[in-house]
Amino acid sequence: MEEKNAKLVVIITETAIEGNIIRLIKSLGIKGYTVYHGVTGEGDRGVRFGSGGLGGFSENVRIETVVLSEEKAELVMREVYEQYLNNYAGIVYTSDIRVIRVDKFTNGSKGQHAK
Amino acid sequence: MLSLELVWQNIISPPILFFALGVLAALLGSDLKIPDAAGATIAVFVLTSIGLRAGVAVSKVGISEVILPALLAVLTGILLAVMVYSIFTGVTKLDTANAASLAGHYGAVSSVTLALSLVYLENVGAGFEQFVPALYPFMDIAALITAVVLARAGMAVKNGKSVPLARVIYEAMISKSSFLLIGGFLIGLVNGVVGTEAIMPLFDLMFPGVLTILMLDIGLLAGSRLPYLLSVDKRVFAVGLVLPPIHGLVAVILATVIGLSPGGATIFAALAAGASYISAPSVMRTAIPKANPSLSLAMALGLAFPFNVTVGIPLYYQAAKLISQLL
Repeated sequence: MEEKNAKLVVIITETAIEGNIIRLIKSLGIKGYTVYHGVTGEGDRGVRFGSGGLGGFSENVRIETVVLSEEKAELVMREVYEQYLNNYAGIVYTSDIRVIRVDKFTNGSKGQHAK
Repeated sequence: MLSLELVWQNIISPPILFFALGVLAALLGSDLKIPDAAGATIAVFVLTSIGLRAGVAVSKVGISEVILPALLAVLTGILLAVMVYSIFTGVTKLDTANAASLAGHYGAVSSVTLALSLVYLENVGAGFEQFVPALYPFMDIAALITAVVLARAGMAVKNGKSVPLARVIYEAMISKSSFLLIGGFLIGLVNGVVGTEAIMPLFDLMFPGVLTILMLDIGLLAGSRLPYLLSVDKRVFAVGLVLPPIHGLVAVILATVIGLSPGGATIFAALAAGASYISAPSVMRTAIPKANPSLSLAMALGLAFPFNVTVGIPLYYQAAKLISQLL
């Protein structure tokens, strides 16, 4: 199996818009992604933490996806930023990664499952 | 007019004191924490219990009894949202988004305030029409939608990307509090007393105790938000404090006029005076992104809720008794 370069796009934002973000990235052609819940932290909009009664409302969610092209990564970052991060707390960034089983990350693959 | 004895008895009742305990724990930095799953399970239990009971109650009196109160609930929800929005934009000069979000929070219903009003009425031995809790979704959804409409009307829509109103209505209806309550109500309605005979004992027996633990969780939550409350604009704070009793008293009058008993009017007042902090925050967050979620949460949780559950509910009950004698 060969290794190839790829990009990891990471979106950390409010749980309140988890559904919106996932719909957005799917509309951009993303077929698979991973979701982490119960993410907390702090930023210029304040501290993010939750308690049971709210059901995760004040917490963050981390959504990451692997894309093969730089253009795709930049597209996702730009759309997430322009459509949501002006109004909602969050960050989005990419990093360089190496993957095997490249076919898993091309269009038409079954994709990753959510955590 | 106001019997301090009744208020005192309410304040030292276990649910209220556990709420205070939770607030204290948060403020003192205790590591006490109710796990998220447990908190969510407790909330599901409480909502299911309320919905089922209301459904069974309506199965006994028939749907026709409910239509007029349901209509009143919708109108009250709209009225309250408009009122809150107008006061915040007019008196405190708050921006449209935050005023509308607060209108949604204050107009919508707090299921825990509702639950506590039921417990209170049973403690003082007051009768009430059993279906009144079922009015929850009517007032809740009406208020949330009104708030969004007010926000849209007050703001120029930028970049055309605002959430369609149909989606807001949809989200308000499937939000877990309304959904569970409506669902439980329908199931209780269809089954009636006989069909629910096997399961009701569990709900009846455990309700007060489970509610008490829920209050502890909410206290922890409220306590963590308290520091933020101190930084809120003083006029906004003051308005937020007087809104619940105003809503409660208006609701008591309206409910008595359409013929509800003092107990029923008290529950209606609890629906009106309560500020939602579980369902409203998530609906408002996606529908009105420009509003500050910390503000509305702090106001609902730190001002409206504590007032209602300590002084408010006994106050509304006594007002209801007084007004029913006058009318």
